[in-house]
Amino acid sequence: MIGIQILAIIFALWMIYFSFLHFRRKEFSLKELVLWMILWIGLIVVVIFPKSIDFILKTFSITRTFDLVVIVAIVVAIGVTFRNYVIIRRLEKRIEDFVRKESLKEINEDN
Amino acid sequence: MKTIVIIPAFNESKYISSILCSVINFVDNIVLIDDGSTDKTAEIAKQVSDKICVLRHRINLGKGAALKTGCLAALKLEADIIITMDADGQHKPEDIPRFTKEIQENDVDIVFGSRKIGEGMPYMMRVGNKFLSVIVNLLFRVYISDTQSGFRAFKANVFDKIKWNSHNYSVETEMIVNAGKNKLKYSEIIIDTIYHDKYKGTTIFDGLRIFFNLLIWKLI
Repeated sequence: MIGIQILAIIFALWMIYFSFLHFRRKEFSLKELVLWMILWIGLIVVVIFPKSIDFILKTFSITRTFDLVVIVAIVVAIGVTFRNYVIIRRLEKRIEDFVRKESLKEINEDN
Repeated sequence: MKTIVIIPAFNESKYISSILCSVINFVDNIVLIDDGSTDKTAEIAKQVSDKICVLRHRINLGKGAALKTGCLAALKLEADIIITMDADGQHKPEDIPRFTKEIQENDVDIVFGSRKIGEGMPYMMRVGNKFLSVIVNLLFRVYISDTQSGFRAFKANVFDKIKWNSHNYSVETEMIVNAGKNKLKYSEIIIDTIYHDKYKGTTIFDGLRIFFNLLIWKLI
């Protein structure tokens, strides 16, 4: 096993611990915990047995497992960025509406 | 016609009292929006006159959001003409009657106050302003020599047509863009300006953001 694989496994184990911690703090539901566990355990399986995803590499004509990891990481990063952008915009809108509603109440109280 | 001035303010306790005292002589009401100030802007404003309606944003939302709150308040107070002014004392209240006269006599929907380019205006602001004027004209066929001046007046019934979504300093440009898109009748008058604080107002980064927003507004 090469160094990068060991590092990836340590990272995945670390993330499993954090996922479980969030679940214990009731910040994650059981469904969310299961989803994250599947992701991190899946990562460990792929890191230990890289040949297990050869069929995906062949299907998409990708030469190395590492290339697939990079492609998936970029796609996920773009998806997460877009989702965060949408959530932030929604929150900004809600905060603005709330603050405005509160301030306009003063006009009703004054009159 | 009932004229209401909207003044968005953020930490303007230094000038706010004198500004309100001089503005109140020219209008029916003032709506001051304290946009999350940490100083005593709202408290000072409340003591000036009963004709001043002070509204507070609990947190700082930005100039655009404060102006929008002010306009909604002015509509509730049954304004016919809404005037927007900055709170830093750079606009002369004596110009207010010129705005209302322009709307009443020439029947325009919106009047843009433009600062005299060159007179005391910082160099970068001059260049940026000219650049934005040209871009706005190219994209939306509306030429305003000072796209960033906050001294404006419009009929209350056109608010829905110029309503903006910008929170920040893009609000002034978005107002022009919406007036252009809705083919509102507009005019421009030259106003006097006093620059108290060269570190406040639109920065070069705001200018770049406005430029990119202009491209987006053109596309959507």
